[in-house]
This record gives sequence, structure tokens and C-alpha cells, in this order.
Amino acid sequence: MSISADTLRGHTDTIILTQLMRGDNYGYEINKTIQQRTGGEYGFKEATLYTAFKRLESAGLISSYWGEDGPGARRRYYAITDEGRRRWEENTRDWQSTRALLDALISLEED
Amino acid sequence: MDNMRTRFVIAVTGRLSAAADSTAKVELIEELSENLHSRWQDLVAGGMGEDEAYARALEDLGNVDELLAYLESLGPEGELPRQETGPQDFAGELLQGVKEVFHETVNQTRDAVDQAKSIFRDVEAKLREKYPDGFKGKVYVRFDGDEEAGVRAEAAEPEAAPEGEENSEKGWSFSVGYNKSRGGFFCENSRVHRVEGTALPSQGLKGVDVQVVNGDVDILLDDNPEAEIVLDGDVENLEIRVSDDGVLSIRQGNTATSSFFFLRGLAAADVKLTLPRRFWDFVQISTVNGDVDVEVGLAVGQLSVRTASGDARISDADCQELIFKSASGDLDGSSLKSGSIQAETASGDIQMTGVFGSVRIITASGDVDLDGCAQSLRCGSASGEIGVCLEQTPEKLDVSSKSGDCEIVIPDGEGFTLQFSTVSGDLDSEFSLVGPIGARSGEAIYLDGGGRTFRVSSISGDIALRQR
Repeated sequence: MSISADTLRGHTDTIILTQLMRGDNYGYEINKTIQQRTGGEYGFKEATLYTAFKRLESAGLISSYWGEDGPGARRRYYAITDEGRRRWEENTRDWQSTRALLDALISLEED
Repeated sequence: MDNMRTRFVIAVTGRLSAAADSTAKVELIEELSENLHSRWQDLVAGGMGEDEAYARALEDLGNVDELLAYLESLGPEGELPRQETGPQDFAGELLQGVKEVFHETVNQTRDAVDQAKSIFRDVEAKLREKYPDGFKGKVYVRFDGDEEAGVRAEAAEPEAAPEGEENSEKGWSFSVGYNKSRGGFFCENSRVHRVEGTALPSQGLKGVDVQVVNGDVDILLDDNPEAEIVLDGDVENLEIRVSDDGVLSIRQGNTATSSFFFLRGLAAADVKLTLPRRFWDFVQISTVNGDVDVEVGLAVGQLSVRTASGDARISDADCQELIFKSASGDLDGSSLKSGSIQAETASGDIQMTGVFGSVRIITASGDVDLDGCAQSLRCGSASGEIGVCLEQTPEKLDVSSKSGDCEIVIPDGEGFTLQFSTVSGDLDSEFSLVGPIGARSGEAIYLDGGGRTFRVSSISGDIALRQR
């Protein structure tokens, strides 16, 4: 899993932007969704997730706001900005291109 | 309050303790602890034991170094508005104090080096003046760490005074040090006389300095302002000295042997000192484990009481400045009148009634109970409970706690602006505040705001604002 984890770590911002493309959400739920989609094989440590949030927010790719979620709790929700959407589209295009190159480079099939 | 939620708040606060307190930090603590609490709930719902789930959830926090770097990068903009004047907690206050001392030291170093050269030249000159034929003996230099006292150097006479000569002078000393009010670095003579007997004239004396290792200190008053100073108690092992500049000093141990026993706690001596009832420039009392009792009606410029575990009781004192510092000792001050008060303890409780100008109280786990009038009040505790009941609306009020609850009682009728911040504690106000009271932090106004700002903050402690 170490190679996969390293590869995934390089795409932390895109992974988070992808989750926010689905709608506004808060940190724990975002991480929970990531874990569920990977069958529990991958998830962020809280500190990693929030470092990424702060980085994305300061870059103007996401914004945040407080929402009340019942007694004794309030949560900060994160939302993707227009700039964030453009960045997500750019990153996913890059990844598709990179993946196609990698497939070609590591495939044993002849043309 | 949800106990497990509070545990996570405290745990996350601890992990982020290296970062300066700021609004961003408080909000980050709230977010992270809420997420960890949700994680814990999920784990417990999945059948895991509560303690195991708590440990697992904390593991999911991961390495916070990058978050600390982020908080550090915010600089002053991320700081809480109350940071300027308000203590966050005892440890934070100490850290801030150390930082200030460090910066102050750095700033003064260049001048200090130049002036230190001058001081040592002065010291050399005074030794040559005192001993023109040369000096054979030792020079003792004592550092007491007190900026105001500076460094005291004593030159021990090499030989005992010949029989028949006055032997009340046991040594010669001078003081060097740094004192802002005296113009910076200084070096001056201060002749010290050893005093025998238990009564001495009070004329010319302006201050008292009592340092006791093992024993209680009682300060009593004689209504006659011209009365002699009387020393009572276990006086046989006390060393009593009077300096030319009017300071009476009392120490335990008048020989090397007795000093040894006192310093190691093998001997004890109580000090009962009766002073004439008049104004004293200063009274300084220091004990390790002894209690300090100051009788009703002491009028003094600065009253300073420092203990390790001893308690202090001060009644009806009229001071320009009161300083109390202790590790585990309590302060019980009743009917006090003081221009300013500084009280700091680790676990000691502080209880005071009276009329005060500026009050600053810091404890780690000690409780605070203040009743009376104060123009401005700063009060901070980590886990101690804070109770403040004021007869008049103060001009400034700044109360903060980490996990202890705070209750502030002030009269109705005067407006104020309340800046508040809490992570998981509740804010309960009997005043009809206008503002985001349901929120965790914000600014609310009572009546017209009154031109005065009150600041209250906590991590998990509840805050109650009551009407007197």
C-alpha cells in the first residue's frame, strides 16, 4: 500500500476538491466518505485533512462557513469556489493524461 | 457538558499548545475535537469500548506539525483580540512572560555589556577605597534574581575585630544591579549593621524584609507610631540586620551551622514582628512552608508576600501595591484597599474582599473568589473556578479560563460591550445582550455599550454573567 499511499498523497487537494464537487460538507464527513469509497483502505489523518483545507482556502479554491448541527455541536462546512472548480477540472484532465501515459509505459501489450 | 467532547477539546488543545492563542486556533480546536468526537461515536456504535475508541480517535488526529506551522504563519492577524491584555491560562501567561523577559534581555544586552564594564570598574574602585593596603579575603556575590534588588556583594573581613572594638559591623557591602527607577545600572555603598536584642528603634527605618525558610511570620502593629520594633518568637537563631538606607532584614540562621539546619528544613523558627502603626515604604515577606499573617490595618507602599506552600492572611491592609506569589499557598485577603494587586499561584486559592484599582490574578488550578470594587480586573485560570462579584461596574474586565467555570456578578444599569469566546463551554447571561449570543464567539452589546469592553473566554468552562 506504500506506493499507492504516496501516489494518493500527491493528489490530496484533488481528492478533497472532488468530494466538494458533490456538495458542501464538513471535515469528518468528507474523510468518512473517502474511507467508504476506498473500502476503508485509505483516509486522511485529521491534521493532514485540515492542513489541506487551510492550504486550499488560502489559495481561494474553497471557502468555509459555520453551520449548526444540533445541541453542543457546530461544524465548519467547506464549499468549492469557481476557481476551485476550474482547478479540479484542470487536475482531473492532467490525471487522465498522466494515467494514459502510465498505462502506455507500463503495459506489456504490443500496438 | 458532554464529558467525552470535553476530553477531546482538552487533548487537542494540548497538541496545539505550542501555537500562540488566537481565534484561528480556538476554531481549529473546535473543529478537530468535534470531528474526533464524531469518530469516537462511530467507533463506539460499532462495538468498540469507550476508552479504546478514545485512543483510536486520537490516533486519527495524526501529526500536527503542519497545523502548528499554519497557525504560526497567521501572525498577529490570527490572534484573539483579547490577547493584548488577557491571560489565556497560567502556562500561557508564564510562556508569554518568559518571551517578554527574553526580548527585554536581548534589547538590553548591548548596553548591559558596556555598563557591566563600568560596574566592575566601580567595584574595583570601591574595594581599593575600602582596602587601600590591599584586601586579603573573599568577596561573596549573591544573586537573588530580583531586578529591583540587583546583585549584592559582600566582602568578608579576613580577621575578627580586635577585642574591645565595636563589633556590630560584621562586614561591608555594596549593591550593584539594574533598577529602572534609579536610572538603570547602579553601584553604591550600603553599610549593614548586625543588631543584637529583640527591640530596636524604628526611627529612620522605612522598609522590612523578612525571609524565612521554615516557620510562620506574623506582622503585628503597635498603635504608637514612634514605638520600637519588637521581635518575638524563636528569636535566638535569627539574624537581624539594619542597613544605612533604612531596611530591616530578618533571616533564619545567625551562624553557618544554624543556617545549614534551616535551609535543609531541620530547624524551624517562627517570627513575630511588631511594627509601629505608621506608613511603611515596603514590607516584603518570603517563606517556604510557613504561613504569613498580617494584622489589621497595615499601611504600606508595597506589600509583597511570597510562599511555596504557606498560606497568607491579610486583613484590612491599605497598600499602594500588593503582590502575592505562591505555589500551593492560599491567599485570604479581607477588607483590603490596594491601588494594584498582582496575585499568582499554581494550586493555591485566592480569596479577596475590598476596594482595588487594578487587579491581576493568575492561577493554574487554584480557585479565585473576588468580592468588592475593582477599576480594572484581569483574571485567568487553567482549571480553577473563577468567581467575581463587583459592587460597581469596572472600566475593564478580562476573565479567561481553560476548563474552570467563571461566574461574574456586576450591577445592572451600566452599558458594556462583551467580547466572548468559548470552544465547548456555555455562555449564560442575565443581561439582555444584543449580539450573536448563541455563537461560540463574537461581540455583544448591553445598553449603549458604555464605552467599556469586557472580555470573557474559555475552552470548556462555562461562563455566567449575573446581575448583582
